[in-house]
Amino acid sequence: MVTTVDQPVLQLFAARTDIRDVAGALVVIILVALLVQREILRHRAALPAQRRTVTAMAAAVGVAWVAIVTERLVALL
Amino acid sequence: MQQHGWPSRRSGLTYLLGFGLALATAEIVLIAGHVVLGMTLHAALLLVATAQFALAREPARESIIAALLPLTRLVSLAVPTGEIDHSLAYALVSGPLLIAALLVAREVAPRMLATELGRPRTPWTQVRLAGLGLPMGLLLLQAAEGAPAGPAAAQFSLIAVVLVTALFEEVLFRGLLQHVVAARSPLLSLLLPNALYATMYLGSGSPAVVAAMASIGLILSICVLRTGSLWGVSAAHAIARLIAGFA
Repeated sequence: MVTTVDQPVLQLFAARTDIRDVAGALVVIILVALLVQREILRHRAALPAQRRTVTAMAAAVGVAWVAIVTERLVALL
Repeated sequence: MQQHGWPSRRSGLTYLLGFGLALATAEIVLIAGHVVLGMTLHAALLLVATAQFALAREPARESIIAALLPLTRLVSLAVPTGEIDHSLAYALVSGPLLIAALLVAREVAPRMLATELGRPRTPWTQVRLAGLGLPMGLLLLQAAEGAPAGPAAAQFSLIAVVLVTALFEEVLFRGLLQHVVAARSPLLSLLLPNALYATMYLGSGSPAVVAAMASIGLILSICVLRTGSLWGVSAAHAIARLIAGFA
């Protein structure tokens, strides 16, 4: 798979907590940036589909962030 | 010229080519051990791609589709592998990414959802295509010989999750990317998405695996181009993965 799961070199990185934390922080930054873009589109005469697409992308990144946080919580418990 | 409500611009192909080169650079930097720099490059690529889509007067749908590639890498690096069950790792990474790909497809390529992911016109052909997974799995096994070991295969609980993961990859590469490129050039629609697909396998640490994935991707692309459906190739992809023991 294109994900880390099947790529041994990347697995070594994903096993490190510090790297996972940076990746998680970047996902949050991306989520915020997408929400900002959505607000900009709201105030512009943008294509409705353009705004919906950015919203959809933000929603999916939000789901990814929830998945990451869930994994952390499960690990803590 | 308007297509599905989105401007059809020749520059979209140039954009994907440039994006592919930048993506390859980010992957190479990452694998070379400059992990934080590599991840930052991926994040920058994602932000540039989404900003191009959101803020341009004539947004190219290629940009928001391409943004799914660095997102894949970042999300997969944020989830530990080896420490948690592989089924959970697959689910945590592939679930949100499949949602992202389908949501983006709904907005920028609705026709793809209706055709490639719709009811297949030739169901038995799709079943036969799934059989391609056997030789492909054997090819992957051969290519991975001597490469660093991946996770051990095939708990039964993994099978359903592998299907979801295979579907995500097929929707992104043989679905969205191939669909938008095919609108301009059928030949490039076979080459460009699979070049990006192979790039995302640089982390396997094995040139043979990267070459095998590029070849398999090309075969699957031809099948999608000829049959117009993603179901058979998704099943073949999942079967190949389970046989190769990467799952």
